[in-house]
Amino acid sequence: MKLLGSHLDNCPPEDAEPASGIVYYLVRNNPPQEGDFIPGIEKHPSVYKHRPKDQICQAHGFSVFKDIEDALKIKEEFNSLKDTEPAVGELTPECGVIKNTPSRTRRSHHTWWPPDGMKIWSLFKIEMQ
Amino acid sequence: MSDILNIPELGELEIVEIYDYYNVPILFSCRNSVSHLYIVIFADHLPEYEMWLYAEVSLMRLNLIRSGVVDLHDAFSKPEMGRLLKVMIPHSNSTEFNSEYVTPDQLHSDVFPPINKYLNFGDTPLVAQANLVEIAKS
Repeated sequence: MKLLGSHLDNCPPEDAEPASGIVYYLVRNNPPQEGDFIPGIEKHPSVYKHRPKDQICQAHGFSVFKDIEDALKIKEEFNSLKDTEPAVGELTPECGVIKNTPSRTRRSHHTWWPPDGMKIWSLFKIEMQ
Repeated sequence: MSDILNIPELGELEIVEIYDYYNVPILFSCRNSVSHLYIVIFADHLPEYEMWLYAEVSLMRLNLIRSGVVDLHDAFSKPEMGRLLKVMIPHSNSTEFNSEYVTPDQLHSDVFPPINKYLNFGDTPLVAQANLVEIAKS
């Protein structure tokens, strides 16, 4: 199983674990579409020109939250995310690997590296609140 | 090619610190080749563009923002220089990148962070230029 980022040294990182459990990801389409899942390294490659290797690796994965409150909070705090909704997905080891990459304010932030070529948007759906 | 860290008015930028991240840094500080500092936010997502706002900041002001003395709303709605750089980055190559200086009152208030949202990075103050080089490279 070739994972996103695996062409880089130590990516995904060795301490990433097999993907499992419920995660939340912000999407703009219902149902979620391929265009909702563009890794940061593709969206803004220049950001990573001089960044440390671990951040470049992280940019090949996707930001997901284990706690829906973190997803709702970041959506509330950033006008640029106001048109998104949290979509829920249940990950299994076949979905790649995941690592807790918390920030000071978003403790449940994880980075998920799925297999290259997997239709990952089909794993998620928007649940009505 | 122009992008978040390569802006005609500012030159090439290097990230100093990332304050919030969602697939990419969405709130961060950076500096240009002559060590001018900026705080930057992913301000809006439009059908054809992403809007990013850049506020030039003094080191003192940046430390006040980082430490939670100045809230993020004021960091962008009351910029020290009285203006922001509004950068529109197209989603596709078929649309053009553009950037222009604006005053805060030329923007819809929605694009600014909520009032009373503060950073909490005050445990380690940013220091003078020489160390910023090392921080940016770290």
